[in-house]
Amino acid sequence: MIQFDSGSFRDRTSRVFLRDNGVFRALTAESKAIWNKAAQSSFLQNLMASGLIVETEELSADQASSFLLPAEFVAILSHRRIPFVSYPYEWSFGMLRRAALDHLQILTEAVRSGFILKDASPYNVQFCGAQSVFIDLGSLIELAPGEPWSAYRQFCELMLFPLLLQSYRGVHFQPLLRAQLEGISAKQFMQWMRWRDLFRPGVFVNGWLQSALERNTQSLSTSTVRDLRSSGFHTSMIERMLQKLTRLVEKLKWTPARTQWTAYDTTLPHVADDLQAKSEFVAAVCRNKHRHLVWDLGCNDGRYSIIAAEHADLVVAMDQDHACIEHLYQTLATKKQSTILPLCVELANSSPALGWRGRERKRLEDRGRPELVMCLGLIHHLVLAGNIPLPEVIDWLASFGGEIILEFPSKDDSMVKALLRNKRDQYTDYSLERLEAELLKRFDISSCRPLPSGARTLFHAVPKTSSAVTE
Amino acid sequence: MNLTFAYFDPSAGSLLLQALVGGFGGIVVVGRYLWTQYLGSGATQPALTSSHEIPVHIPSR
Repeated sequence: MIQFDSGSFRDRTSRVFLRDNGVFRALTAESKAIWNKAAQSSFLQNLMASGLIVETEELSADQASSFLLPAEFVAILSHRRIPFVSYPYEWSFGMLRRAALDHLQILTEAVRSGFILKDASPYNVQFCGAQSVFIDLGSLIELAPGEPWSAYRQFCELMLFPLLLQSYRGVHFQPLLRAQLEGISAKQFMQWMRWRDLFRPGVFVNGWLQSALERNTQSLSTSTVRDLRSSGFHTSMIERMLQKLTRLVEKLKWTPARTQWTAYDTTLPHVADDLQAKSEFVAAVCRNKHRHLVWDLGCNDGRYSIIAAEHADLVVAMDQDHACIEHLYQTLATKKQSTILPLCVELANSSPALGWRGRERKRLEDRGRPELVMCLGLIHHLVLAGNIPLPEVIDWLASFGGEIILEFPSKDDSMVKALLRNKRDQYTDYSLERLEAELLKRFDISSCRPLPSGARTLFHAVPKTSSAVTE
Repeated sequence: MNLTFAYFDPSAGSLLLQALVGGFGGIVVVGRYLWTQYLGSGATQPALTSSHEIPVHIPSR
């Protein structure tokens, strides 16, 4: 029997499963009937051709019969696979804004064609590199005349309010969305707003008014969906709302303040000295062979991700600095780059398993096995600022099962001195000798190169075979 | 065509809001809706959309 994806259970009419490296969606008779109509419509064909909606085709009855599906499912769709699944709490402001605009565009065109999306979750959008794509075709249903947009509140809670919070108040939405998978309620949103924010676009209507209406309609006993239709609600009202929301989201901006990391590679002398040598080292390792998945941990401006992407299907570029990831996303999106996926990840506290039974949203490490992990200018922050023992860091890097490129700054390095200037140096494990010893327990050191600044060393290490590790 | 309810509660407030920002026609819709909900007299009876739905009996006062 087919095992459905552990995150695909909320909508009983359309459920996703993986098999033989493919992504499939099982449809009930109800959702199959909708798919049959939608597949004939030009709006869906056009959006699929433009790349806004994931490429999808229905399996023939013969193909579908090879899957052992529960009896309620009658058809199977096959989707193009997303190379690396990411979640909204790992996206920068611009990425969530892109997801919101894509959603509004698809919804607008769907409504014009007599369809609507039954939910408004940013989890329905994924990124192939910096290119967004809508993946939840099961969300598409026929729009009954006079029926309002049921997912408006969900759109606000998971997309609009997080964007408004960051744009108007500079509050990063990522920790909020990670803690609250259902998003930010109108009431909670208004608690962040000052009175003068009521005059900023979108706050009064979508925040204050929605919160007030929710408060005053909780005791209603009849179906508002049905009552609104009988009171004359018209589809044009949804279209008008979507126009207003699109204009609002298009105007939202978040201009990140300069952080110590935004111009790190070009402002600090020791970094500038080493740039060329580091780039050459990374390029030499990367062109050695083509890899499917590379992780660049602490990617900063993505300089080395770009080098690695020349020889890889996908590079996931992670950094905890939101400004760096936003800059990188904007650069990549302008170039329509599809092989580098930038994500906001705090590596000492990366995305855990979340949701129902801890199975709904997978932890970062369970979403892909990188063949190469680049760890440049990072280990001193994990050990000396994050207080993680150096052997633990090496153990963690080894757990990915791939090769690593590691940069080690010694205690003579100016950044290391800066990290230690106001604290007790308890880090007896932080030395080149100890690093090499720890590496050799799990890896073979393929190459090693001191950098011109004199205080940093680069390593390329490949995992020992399992039998060698056991010995 | 039957109404298609979502698998989550959209909240009555967020639905009403869509009519409120829907221009003059929307204000009229909300007016009719409120008349139905709170005043009762001359109210529009909710339309039955399915043969499975049983009208709720409202006892006379």
